[in-house]
Amino acid sequence: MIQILTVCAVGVGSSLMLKMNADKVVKGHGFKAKIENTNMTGALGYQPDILITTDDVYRQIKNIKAKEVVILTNMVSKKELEEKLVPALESVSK
Amino acid sequence: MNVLKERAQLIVQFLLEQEGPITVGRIAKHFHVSPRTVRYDLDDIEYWLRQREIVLKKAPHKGVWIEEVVRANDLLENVFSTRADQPYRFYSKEERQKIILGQLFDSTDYVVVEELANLVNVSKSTCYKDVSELEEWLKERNIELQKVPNKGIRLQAKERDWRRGLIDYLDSSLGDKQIIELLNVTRSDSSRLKFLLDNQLKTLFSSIDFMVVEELIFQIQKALDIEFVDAAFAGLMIHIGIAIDRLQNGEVIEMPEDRLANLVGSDEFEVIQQLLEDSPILKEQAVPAAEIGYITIHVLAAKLRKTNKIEGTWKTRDRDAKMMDVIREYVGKVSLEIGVDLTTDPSLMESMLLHVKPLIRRLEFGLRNRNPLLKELQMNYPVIFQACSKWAKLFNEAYRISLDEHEVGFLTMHLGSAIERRVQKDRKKGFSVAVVCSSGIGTSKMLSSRLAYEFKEIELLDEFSVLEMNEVDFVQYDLVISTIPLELEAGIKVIEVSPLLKSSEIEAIQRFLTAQDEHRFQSVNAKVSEIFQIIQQHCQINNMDQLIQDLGQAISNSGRSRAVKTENSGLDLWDFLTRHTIKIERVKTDMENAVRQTAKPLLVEGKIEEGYVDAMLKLVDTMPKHMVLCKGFFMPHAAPQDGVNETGMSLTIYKKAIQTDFEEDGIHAVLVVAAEDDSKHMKALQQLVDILNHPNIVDQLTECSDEKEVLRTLKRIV
Repeated sequence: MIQILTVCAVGVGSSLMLKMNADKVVKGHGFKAKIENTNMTGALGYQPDILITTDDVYRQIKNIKAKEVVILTNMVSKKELEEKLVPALESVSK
Repeated sequence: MNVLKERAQLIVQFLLEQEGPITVGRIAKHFHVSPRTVRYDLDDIEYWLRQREIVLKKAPHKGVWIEEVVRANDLLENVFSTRADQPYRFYSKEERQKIILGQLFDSTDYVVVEELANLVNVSKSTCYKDVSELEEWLKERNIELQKVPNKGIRLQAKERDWRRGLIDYLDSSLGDKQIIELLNVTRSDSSRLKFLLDNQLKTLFSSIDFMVVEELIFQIQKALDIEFVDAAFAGLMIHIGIAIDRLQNGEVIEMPEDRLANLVGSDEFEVIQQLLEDSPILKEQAVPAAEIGYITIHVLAAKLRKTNKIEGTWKTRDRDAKMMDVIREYVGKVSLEIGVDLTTDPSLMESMLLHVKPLIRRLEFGLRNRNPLLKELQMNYPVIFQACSKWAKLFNEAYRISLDEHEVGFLTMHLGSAIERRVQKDRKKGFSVAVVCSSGIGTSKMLSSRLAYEFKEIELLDEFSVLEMNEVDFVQYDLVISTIPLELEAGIKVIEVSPLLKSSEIEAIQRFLTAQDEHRFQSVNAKVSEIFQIIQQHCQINNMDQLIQDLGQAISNSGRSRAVKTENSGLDLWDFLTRHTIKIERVKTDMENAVRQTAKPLLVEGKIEEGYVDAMLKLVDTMPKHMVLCKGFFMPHAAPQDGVNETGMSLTIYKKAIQTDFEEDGIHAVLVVAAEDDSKHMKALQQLVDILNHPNIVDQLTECSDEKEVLRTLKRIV
């Protein structure tokens, strides 16, 4: 199963909402994935297939090994997420 | 221009280390200089770089940056390569003044201002300014700053004032923590002098063998059957060190006859006299009675960790009984004032008696005791501090003394820790933690009470002082929390904190405990699946999921609900967003103000603390982008442990866009979210996600004419 990690600074707000949207995108396109949200420090313990966050957060956690990194301009834009996440999902399922 | 000034070179280097633009203000802060100075430097830098065909980029509200990083780095390496050999430091005004003062105390002769200016890397006129500001400080301490043309400046004062001034200087320039560190370092080797040398006091104590002074104090403790707290021990070392140093230089302190008469004949006086005579510190030099009196006063006023001695010629039983009465009355009055009855706390009474005895002696002898935590105490425990301050008059009247706010601060620590002890009931338990403190009893008690209050997971809290450390086996604890750097054997987790626990430190502890908890949880899971397999072999299972869940509950036995979070849990968005928490703002404003404004209803209701607002602003400053939920919609929030009492949300719609450097078209909606945990706001966030996925929602909200309409617009979508 594909592992997706959504990250924000504190792990209780933006990343949670992002996870909710990602859930919809994943299911909507017929993928199966385990999605988790966390804060920056928590993120360092993961090696997800796909990492989703914004560039200011990503700058702090660059060390994380992820197969695909999705950087968003707007944390809760389903359209933007769809555009960027679906190719990433396709890439890691190959 | 071929050469850049030293600071300008450092600024170039600093710019290259940044990952983007940086404001002049921040550069100024980093280098401890004014923004104007930075601007002048930047002009030089810009010109210098341009000659080398590199552009210094500038943008309003963003700051400055260098794009051609690789080339600029090469330049730096080639041009500035000499710099590494000559370390160059920039001192803040405060640092400069400390260094200058140190030189003045250090020198018996005149000091030339020009040399001072060279020492701290500033111009002569800046140095004069520093010196004249120092004059105020010195005057308050009855120390005259003599200025003689063609000679320089030097300090002139009565011996007593001179010593007091030096102690104040050491206090302010080293700080309790460093003085204690100094003590720790030297317990094992004799590098104490090196430490002092590092601190600009090159010759002050050079003639003193501090190991011998230390030995002397150990002997005093033993002879009098008392134990000083570490800070007091370190303080005594310095007091006695100075006394001996001055004595060797022929400077002798004077003491009024009647005061001396009071001291002569006390146990302490005789013990110290005897020990000084036997000590190799002063070889064949008679110690004047006033000098012994001086040391005796400091021993009497030093804070005690414990005393095994109830009676003595100095402290009679009557005096103790009277003191206990005053303490009881004081605690009673303060209890009434703050509405928590502390009079039944035996350990408070004990620690108060131990504290108040030397306190009264300190004040009787006119010794001041600086409380390094005063500001934090006033801020974090305002009510207790007020009450303690108000009833200090009981001590003042009984002993004809006058407690200053530093001493009131110490009392606040004792009472504060008693209150925190009372508050910690019905806590879920689990972890065992050792608290290591080096300073006074009040600090360690308060720290452990605070820890117990903040972390319900902590079951066992043991307090140790540095002195006891060698006797403790730390392996038995899950975690060691210390106010000083510790080196323990591998495998023992140590978290270093400040005595009053900053929120970042609480966070660090929380992270550790959560990780540990996770670990325990996993071992429970392993157990469950093991048992589950056995059951599977022998039984028919009706509801597999339920069985696993029940097994987990039974084994973990902690009652901690580990229920799977569902997105429908928690309260409705409309429980949070009401007419009271929604506002429309027509005046143009900036982001900081907008966050404060929006957070206000939550503050007023007590759902969040001021600290939460500060935490949000810090994040807004450092990484705002992840809080831009969609175009024009900004959701500032921080972590639950930053000061959330209860989950809450509040929203402000700004008719005039807030301009920011992270969102081109500006922000129209600011939603402050405060989450007490990670589940109670789940449903509301889900509803919010649905709302924000609606096209043009921010435009629609911006067009609303009143709060009711905002609410209607939002509800229409969900």
